[in-house]
Parts: sequence; C-alpha cells; structure tokens
Amino acid sequence: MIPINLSNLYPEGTESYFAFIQSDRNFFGATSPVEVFSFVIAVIIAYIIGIAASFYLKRRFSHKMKKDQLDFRIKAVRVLLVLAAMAVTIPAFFDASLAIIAAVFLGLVAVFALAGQKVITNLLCGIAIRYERPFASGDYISAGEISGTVVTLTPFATIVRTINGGSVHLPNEKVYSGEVSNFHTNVARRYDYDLGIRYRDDIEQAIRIITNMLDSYQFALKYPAPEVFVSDLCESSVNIKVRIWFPSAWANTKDDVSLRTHILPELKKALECAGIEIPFPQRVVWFGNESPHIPCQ
Amino acid sequence: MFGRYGGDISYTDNAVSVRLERSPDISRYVRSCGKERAEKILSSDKGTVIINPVEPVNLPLPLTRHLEIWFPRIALLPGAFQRLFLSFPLEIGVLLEAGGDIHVLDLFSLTRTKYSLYGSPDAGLITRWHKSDLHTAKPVVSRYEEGVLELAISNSSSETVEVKRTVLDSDSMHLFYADVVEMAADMEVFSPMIARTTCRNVPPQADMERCIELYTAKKIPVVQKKGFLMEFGVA
Repeated sequence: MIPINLSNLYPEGTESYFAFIQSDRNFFGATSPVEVFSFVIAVIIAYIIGIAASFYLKRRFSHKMKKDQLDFRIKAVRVLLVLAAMAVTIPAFFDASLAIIAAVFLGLVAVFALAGQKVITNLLCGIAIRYERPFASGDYISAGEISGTVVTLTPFATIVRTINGGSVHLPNEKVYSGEVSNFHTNVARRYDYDLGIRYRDDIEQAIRIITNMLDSYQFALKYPAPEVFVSDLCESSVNIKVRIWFPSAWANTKDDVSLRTHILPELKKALECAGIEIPFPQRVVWFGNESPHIPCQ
Repeated sequence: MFGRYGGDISYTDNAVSVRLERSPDISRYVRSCGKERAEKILSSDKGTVIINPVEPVNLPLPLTRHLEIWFPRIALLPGAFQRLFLSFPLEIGVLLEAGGDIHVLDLFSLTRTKYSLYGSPDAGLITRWHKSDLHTAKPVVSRYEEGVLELAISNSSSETVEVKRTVLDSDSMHLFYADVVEMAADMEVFSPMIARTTCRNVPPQADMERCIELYTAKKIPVVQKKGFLMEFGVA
C-alpha cells in the first residue's frame, strides 16, 4: 500500500495544521481534538435522544396537558439533555482562558444590544407572560384588533388562530404592553341585543314573548336570568334591550355574527307570530301650506 | 329499552325508536328521537350493546360536569334531617362492549336541556339545570325522561337554613335502574352558604341494575372525590 501524504494535496504551509490535528496538543484551552470529536458526537446523540424523549412525552401526556405547557417541558428536557452531554463529555472544553470567554461574551452582548433590541424585548415579555399567565393555549382572547384562540406561546410571539381560520403571530411585546381580554377566564359571558317594535305594539306582551323564547333556548343560562326591558324611545320604534348570559365555553366557539344568527331570527319569528312587527324607519313630514289637522278615518 | 343486547334490537314507543340490525358483514344502528336521528354502521355483528342511563350532563355539548336541581324552598331547623325525593333529567347512553373495550355508540335524551350558573361568572361553574317538585315519597316519573333522586339533607349548623337547590358532581354519580332510574345522595348543610353533596354507591333497592357511567365507558381517569362542596349558597 502506498502511503499518501495529505500535505501534498494542500498549499504550502498547511502541513503544520495536519500535524496539529493528529497530535494531542491543546488548541482551545486544555482541549484535545479527540475531546472535541467526542463532544460533537455526544451532542448529536443527546439531540437524537431528545427527539425520542419528546415523541414519548407527547404520546404520554398530550391528552393530560395543554399544548403550550407540554411543548415548554419538552423543550426544557431537550435543552437539559444537550447541556448534560456537553458537561459530561468535555468539561475541559470550557477551560478556555477568562480573557477569551469575556471577549466572546462581550461580543455577543454587543451584537444583541445593537441588532436584537426587539428580539430581546419580545423574549423578556414572553417570559413575563409565562410567569403572569394572563391566558393559556386554547383560551379565546382579544389583543388589540385581533381576536382568536391562543394556539401556542413561543419565546418571541403569541400565535393566535382567528375565528376565520387564519393564524396571527402577535409579538410578545405587543401582547404584554397592550390590553388583552381573556374570554375564557370567566365561565359565563353576557351578550346584549337591541330589538325595535312599533309604538302601537304591546310592550308587555313583547317582553313576555322574548322571555319565553329565551327560556326555551338551551344555551341561554337560567341564572343569571335574561334581562328584557325598554331601553329607548326612538323616532320610529320602541327599543327593547335583551341581555343574555351564555356559557363561555360555548359562546367562545361562535363569533358575534353566528351568535346573532342563532338568536335574532328566533326572536323575530316569535314576535311576528304574535303580530308584533319590527318597524321601518318613518317620519311624518308637514308642509307649510297644509292644514296640520288630519281627520281620523 | 334498558339492558344488555347480544342480538338485534328493535324498540319503538311514542317518543323514541332504537334499532340494531346485525349481520356478519355490516351491522346498522339507527335511533330516532323527535326530530333527531342518529345512524351508525358497525363493522361486524360481534359485541354486546348496552343501553342504560348515564350521567345527565353530556348533551347537547359537554359544557359541564355538574347537575343542579332546584326544588321548592324548605327550611331546615338546626340539627334537622330530612329525606326528600326529587326528579332528575335522564340521558341515555348506547354503549358497545367488545374485547374488553366499551365504546360510546350514541347518547340521547328526551328532556330539554337548560344550563345555569352556580356562583359568580368569575368563580362559579356552569351547571346542567333541572327543576323538580318536592316529594316525601318516591314520585311517579316518566321512565325514559326522568329518574328519582333520594336526597338526605342534614343541617349541621346552629341556625335554621333554607335550602332550595342541590349540586351534584357527575364524577361521583352512581345510577341504578329497575322500573325507574334511581340515584341516592347525601347533602350536609354547614351554613346558608356552604354544603357538601355526596352520591351513594349502593343501589337504593337490592334488585336494581348498576348503570355503566360514561366516565367508565370513556376510560376517563377520575380521582375519587369525597363529594362536591357547594360554596355559593344553598338557596
């Protein structure tokens, strides 16, 4: 077998590099190339074990835990595995001189400070949200102009699925510093509706019909009882306000439109069956040359 | 209708119709109840079908685990004990038992569902609401619409307490049936605001059949609780 001299394949001056790799000399603090190699292999193995562990944890706990909580635990397990592999295989790797570590650290700080202000803000806000827990995955929230169900909370963003099926990434900084309404915190939610009836209709009868209809509507809570009352005397109609409490777990699955389509057609039908109509806007116009008296027919 | 069926099922009355036609290739389950109709196709004729009442908190959607029964207000003197009989709504489960597994084939009810809030919106809980008359002996009820709850109320407080409702946790419910469906529970009143309800796990009569609860059928692990603590009042 003819021995191959690798140094012949490379430009002049690289011989010393190969000699260094093949030697036991330290090139980073007290670390030898063998240690670096075992370090890399250990990290790869830890990474693979982490994947297997995450698969096992998902299978074991996905029905017992909320998705974001489970994801957080899985990530923690994987990071810990990699750190453990690093610590066990090559402690000497970290024996670099203090000056080098300080330089690397300061360099990283400078890079983050200059380029990653927003990223760091989002990260810190993500930690704050995780600590304060104003919402959890699966909750229906409203943040700014966005309303939807929280899918997950990543270190940098809150991912929300809107009622029309879209996915919105809300930066954690915006969520934390803005107003967030969580419609899952309380078990019941109230909705208000306004209905107009004609002036000549019987108000008490209308209120009775609406109350009876709501009593038979299964998702309108029995207690707190629905409130039905005259709220306004308008130009063309007597306005009746209807306040209904629903279970949040049901109401949060509907948007405002679908809630209305559940309730309002039923109310209209019930009123019309009793001869009570919802009036069109109307106005009586008098002309100056006309007599103001209209004979009763 | 209630019972275990190893063969075909054919039951029809004014309100409900349940049919199971078995064949070696494909079995067909059809149920109609008012305007509602359910149809399931099973891949074989194996297995036993069980039709029995289940905890009445699952329909139309599983929004709650608690059943709240309102009844006419009754004043209990300090240290008083009172045995009452109330009605409660029924939900009927059709379960398929095969190979050690129980599968929920169908759920239906002949009664109207109504929800309520026990407590405040921020700290209370949603309940399945039912209104019952107060009886001192077992009332006559429609077999497939309502069951009979034997409620033993005791007042442990040193004051007279008015009681008009009870809340039961479905995780601790135990239903039994013979001619009618029955359940028994104890309610210990500690104050006008606090009481504890506990369902008994013994049949009210010796010859009654035990129902398979839905949490058993769905294999939901349930931590055995010592009843439910009513913290938002009994009146």
